[in-house]
Amino acid sequence: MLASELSLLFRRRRTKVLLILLFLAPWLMGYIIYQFGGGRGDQGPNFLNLVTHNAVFLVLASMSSLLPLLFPLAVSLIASDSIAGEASLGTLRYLLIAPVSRLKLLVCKLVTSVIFVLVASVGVTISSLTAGVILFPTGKVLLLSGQMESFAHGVLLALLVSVLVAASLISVVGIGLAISTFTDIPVGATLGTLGIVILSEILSNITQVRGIWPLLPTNYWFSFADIFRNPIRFGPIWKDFINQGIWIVFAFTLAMARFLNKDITS
Amino acid sequence: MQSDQEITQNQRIEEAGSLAIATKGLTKALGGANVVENVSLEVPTGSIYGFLGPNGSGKTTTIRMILGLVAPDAGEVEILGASEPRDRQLKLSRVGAVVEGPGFYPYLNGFNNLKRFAQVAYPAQRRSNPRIRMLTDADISSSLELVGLLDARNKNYRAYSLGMKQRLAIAAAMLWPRELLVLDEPTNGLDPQGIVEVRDLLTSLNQNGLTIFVSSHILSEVEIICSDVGIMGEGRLLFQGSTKAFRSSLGDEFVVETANPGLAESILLQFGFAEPDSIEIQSGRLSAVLITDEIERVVTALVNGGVGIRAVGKSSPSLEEAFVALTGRSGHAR
Repeated sequence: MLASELSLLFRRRRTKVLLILLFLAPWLMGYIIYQFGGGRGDQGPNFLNLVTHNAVFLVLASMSSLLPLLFPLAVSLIASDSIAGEASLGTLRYLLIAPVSRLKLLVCKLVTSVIFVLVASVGVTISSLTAGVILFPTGKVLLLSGQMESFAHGVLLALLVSVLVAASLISVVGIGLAISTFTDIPVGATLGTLGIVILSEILSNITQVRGIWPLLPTNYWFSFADIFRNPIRFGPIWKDFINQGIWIVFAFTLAMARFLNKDITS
Repeated sequence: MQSDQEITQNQRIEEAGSLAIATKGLTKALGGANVVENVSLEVPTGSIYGFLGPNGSGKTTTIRMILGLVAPDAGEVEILGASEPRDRQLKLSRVGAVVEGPGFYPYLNGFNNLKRFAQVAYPAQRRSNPRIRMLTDADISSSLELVGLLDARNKNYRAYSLGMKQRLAIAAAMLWPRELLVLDEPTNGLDPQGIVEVRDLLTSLNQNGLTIFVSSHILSEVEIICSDVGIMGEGRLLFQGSTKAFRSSLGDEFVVETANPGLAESILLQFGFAEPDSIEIQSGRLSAVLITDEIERVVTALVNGGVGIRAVGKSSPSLEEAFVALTGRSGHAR
């Protein structure tokens, strides 16, 4: 079942186009920085100025520009297609009478979306590193906390970043899956999911609601940069893990509550 | 003490009278109104059961409840002898179904669509029969061949005609060894030739031992092959039984062609051969449901009474007419 889900997802042209667009983004960014420089010396949040010093920082620059919108968009598209997409095609009823148990279908859809997120995130990292190595210096890496490390160490940290980014997107996978059990229209589910992500990002900029910040799924998204410190600042990373864990448990419970007893009229 | 022989005989009797699908008091409300009300189906094992009724009469919702897609508000479902939800779910591996039209992935070709459904069904198949093997490409191709889609195997589903889509759905329903086929409007979108082909296919599958439960809103499309019928109207089961019993319960019509149908009517009434409301007169033609079997006497009486007869005959009502009589609306409606 899982193998079938994965081949269905990755054989689909839409998935390939999405991944290619994501993988091209670091090349575009790298080329722009190569041509026009990384901006002034002050350390902005986008790590653009660091990229001209070392190739590995293109990973951080790519991730921080893709994470707010393009990554959630791609993940929303895939995750919210899980059930709503099958329902809109009319294949959902045929899967259930195949028969596939509803719980198993939900779990397979969840795992498939998580694998998509990992492929996207690791792919962007590898793409960033490749573009970086071609366009920028590859010497020792100056960490954000000021120490120098070898380039190989920097590459290892960059690969860890891809795992952390994937973990940060688990909440979006869960929300997309949950919403997709409520509708037979995949576009609606995608927009709903993306809407929640954007709302969360807006709320995390409003200090009056600081109290709920720790609950927002996007609150610790930029914790991945803390891995480029020595010692690594794990605090925000753990908090992100816990936050994402809570969201996925909540969302999957909601999806089960809705889907396991739903009348399938699509 | 029962002898062994008696036990075997009893088993045989039980098997002969067993039901592939049995529902009891099935009821479902959707959007506030009952779409299905107190439907108790009995689909004999080995039959071709025609589940007939106009669109919107609750056929599809009933089928969805039988297959576990929709939970009934009241009533019970038994499928291939299983009544507990978990057992029913397992039994679905012995059931092939087409529900409310085909549903496939437009971006996969016909072959890969069938392969996808073969893959997802395999674990359940193995649970009900540990020795079963995953279907090979050749198996899938032969399923496509059965419905005449082998040449279109590499064409994207998106590019299939409605008839091809319908046939692919039938192929998918028969991918694995089945005991029961549940086909909801399988002839929708097929041309007359295609309808004949599907009917022939169903007949031959039935001869190989499959029970077939087939719904239609166009009665003439399936009535020829059905051994049993259930007639739905406005969410209720209006009639259920053998096709033969259904026909005979309606009675044959006696038809006389004559220049003087008015005189013929008065003679029939005078001799008490027919009830007044069963007599229908068109220009040069009288039809009536006779109370007597002795057509000879009726004809003699008419001739003696001076009615000039051009032709005389018997006509059995089609299910179409029967349906109108039962529901007060045409089976072709919408």
